[in-house]
Amino acid sequence: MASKNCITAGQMYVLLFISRIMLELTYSLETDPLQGGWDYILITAAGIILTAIAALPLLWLLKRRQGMGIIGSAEYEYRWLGISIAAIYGIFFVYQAIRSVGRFDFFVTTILSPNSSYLTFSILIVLAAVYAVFMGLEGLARTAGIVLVLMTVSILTVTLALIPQYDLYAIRPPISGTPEDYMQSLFTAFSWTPEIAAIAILAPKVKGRLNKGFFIWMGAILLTVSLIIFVPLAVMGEFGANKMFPFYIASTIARLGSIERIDALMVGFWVTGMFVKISMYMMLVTMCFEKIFGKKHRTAIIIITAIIIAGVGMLFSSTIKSVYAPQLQIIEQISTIAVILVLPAIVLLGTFKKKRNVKKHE
Amino acid sequence: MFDKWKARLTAAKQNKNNKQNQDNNKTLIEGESDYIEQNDFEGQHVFTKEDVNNEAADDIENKKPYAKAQDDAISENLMDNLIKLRQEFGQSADLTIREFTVGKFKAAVITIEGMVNKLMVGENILKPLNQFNTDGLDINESFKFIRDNIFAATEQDQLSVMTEVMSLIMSGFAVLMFDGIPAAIAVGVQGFSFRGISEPLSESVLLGSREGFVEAVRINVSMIRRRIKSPKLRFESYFIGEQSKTNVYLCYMDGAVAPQVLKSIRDKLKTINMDSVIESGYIQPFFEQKPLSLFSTVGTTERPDTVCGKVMEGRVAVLVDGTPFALIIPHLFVENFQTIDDYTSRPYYATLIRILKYISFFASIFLPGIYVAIGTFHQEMLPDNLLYNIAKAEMNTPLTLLEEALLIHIVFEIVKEAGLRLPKPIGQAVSIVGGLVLGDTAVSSGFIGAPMVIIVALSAITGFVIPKLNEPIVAIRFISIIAGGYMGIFGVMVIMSMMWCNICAMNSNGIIYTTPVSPFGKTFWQDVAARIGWKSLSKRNLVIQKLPGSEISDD
Repeated sequence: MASKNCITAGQMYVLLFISRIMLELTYSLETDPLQGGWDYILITAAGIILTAIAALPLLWLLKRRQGMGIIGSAEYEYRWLGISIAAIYGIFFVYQAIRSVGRFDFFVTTILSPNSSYLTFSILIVLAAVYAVFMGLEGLARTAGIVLVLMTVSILTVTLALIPQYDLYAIRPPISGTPEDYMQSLFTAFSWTPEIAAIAILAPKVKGRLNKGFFIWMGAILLTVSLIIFVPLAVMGEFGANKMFPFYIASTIARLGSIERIDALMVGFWVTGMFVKISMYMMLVTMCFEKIFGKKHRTAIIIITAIIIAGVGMLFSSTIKSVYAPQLQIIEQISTIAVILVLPAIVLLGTFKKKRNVKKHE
Repeated sequence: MFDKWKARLTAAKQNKNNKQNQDNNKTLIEGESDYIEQNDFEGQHVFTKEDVNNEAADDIENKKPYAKAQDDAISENLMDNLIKLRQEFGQSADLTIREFTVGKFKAAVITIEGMVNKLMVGENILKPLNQFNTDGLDINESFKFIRDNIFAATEQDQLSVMTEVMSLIMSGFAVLMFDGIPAAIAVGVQGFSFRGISEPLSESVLLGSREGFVEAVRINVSMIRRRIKSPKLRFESYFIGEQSKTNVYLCYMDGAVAPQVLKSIRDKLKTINMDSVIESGYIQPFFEQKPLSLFSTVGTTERPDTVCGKVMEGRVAVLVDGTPFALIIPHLFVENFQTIDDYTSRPYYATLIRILKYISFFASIFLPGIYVAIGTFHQEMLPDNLLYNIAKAEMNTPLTLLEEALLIHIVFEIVKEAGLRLPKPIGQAVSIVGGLVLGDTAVSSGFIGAPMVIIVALSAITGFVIPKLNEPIVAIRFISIIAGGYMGIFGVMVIMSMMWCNICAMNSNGIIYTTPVSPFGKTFWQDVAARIGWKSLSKRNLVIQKLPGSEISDD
């Protein structure tokens, strides 16, 4: 009757889905060369499909080495490789957590409570995440199931409440950008699903069929992300495309009965999503660094990670320039490609080499 | 109870006999006389140290109070025994020893004042003994005859150690001792007074039984047995508490309960090391996975029908002598919202009430926090006329919304506590003064705004809809008010997320606390979000270990 300390594949994909959707709900078109329109929807969709294809080596690796994950697989080849992979993924997740806290801080202090300090938001959300990490992965995964309901309700409420105001002609027609614009947008969209890297780490703690769930998950992301981009563009057209947080702006127009504005309520629901996202990244960081420093240092790892995320995340949240600095975008894009494509491919090749060596010895 | 003891004694005796066959010369080992149970005046059986160890391994120490101490065998000398008893009890006024003679033999009946029915002692023990003729019989023959033929009682046993004597007299038995016999006879003549069976105050129902548990655990056991006339219903008796030796019963349905769950509960029961167990709440934390959590993974009830429903689903009930509150393990979060009325009302109405309870739970915790958050940070959410009225009411008060909310909730909790602890008539007066006079004057004097009183009243009333969750509701309500006052909706939602995470991370003896909501199962639609009709509900044959996410294996 001892706890199996694992979650189902469905629970893991719910966690990852919420994380991915949170990025989309608080996205800004400021730095996007296509600036909304049908092009943007199509490029984002293409980016998601491309990401799914890029994740194939990882899925293959996880299928070959079931129950090991990328760190375990690398460790199986060479111990140093396992440690290195754990360190790289750990740092990547710290970076992702910092970016998430920064983006959300910026979003909340810009939209929800302009007079509040970034520090307070950073500290509160990170403290809550620390609490969740101590509660364990299973607790977080189950919480994600409930948060998913809230998120779905919030997105559908805004979508349905705005139906009378949809005007498809307001959306900029497709093929209105230059090839460079498309490439840049595609590259950006490609880096917007770093959650795939989480599959590589969580795999040993997941029971169930990873591959089948992966494609359902990607499909759900494709649909939801397209909807989140479509709604503000259909309602506000060019005006929506020029706004920092289009879906949020759309929610400010929506009315629900006698409630004048539902945006604060919607953002309230999204806070629960952000809680899940930051907690998940902190959990992943802990899992990676535990491999290096050992489980006895778990508490220290969690506390140090929390301080770094809250402190550095705050620095990234003061202005739009700091949140969406081009250098950060490039770091994000390259690092995402490294963790979802390059490193899994290297470890996968290592498994083939090992198999060949074993056969030779036989 | 005696049957089990006898079965164990017989088993121990058989072990002993086997051992004796192997080595006839080692019947009694020198230096082990401390461990001898002197039942052998008839050549029945002799216990050695090994037997005692065997019994200990067989958990007999939990079944039989004082069984560990085998060093106090009953003496052949009646006076020695009585002196020993008086020494053990000191000058305790309730120890009653009645010395008399049965024919030519000296004897004594030992009881505890108030624990026995005096009429039964007179009629069933003393009167037959006075009429018993011992002519031609020696003391051994007389004892045997008296033991087997004289007493008109269903509960009777032969004792060999003083600790057993003390234990049983304190449980309401009369113990009979003879001079010249190193044994005693215990006769069940319990007759202590207890509160009559009445409707449970904490769990009133509209359409259901009016019976609630009482403080006497044996009566509670009988109330459960009366409802489930199945031999598969089992009760296990334990004695917990170094000093109090409180009788604790485990109640379960054999075949329905998962062996792992039962073993886990038995193991936890054995870890309890307390001087006294006065209430079931004393031992409740020992069954909880996270004792510091705001929510409990152990359910409580004072309704026998609820216990019956739960044990039929594979749960274990823990009944503690001296309290009408039984513990139910494992316990799920959704069970806090279920009452017997849900199952006696029509399904559509039960479903409606369930939904109202869920709304009440969230409203009770988060309504004041959300109100403070909206009033302080997100006024744009409110319709113009409502915003105008709130602003008008709050304009004249000296306190901020956060301060008002905190103050009025503290006052409310104080009034509630005062009303609860005081004698009923005074308690009602306090409620009237607190609720009407204080509230009305506070608003009319401009100390607090009228909308805040409405919010507090609403959150209080909604909290009473789920009385089982009163403790976490009150605690989280305060936290959410503070979070809402400082961080707006953001703060309230972070607190809500943490609360969910806490609830979702809990596990009640291998059963996930939030099942079947998360992980999701079809039971959610049958008996959580809705309550389907009995025709369908009776087909599902639910046992708790089959719920989604259960860590209990089938083997």
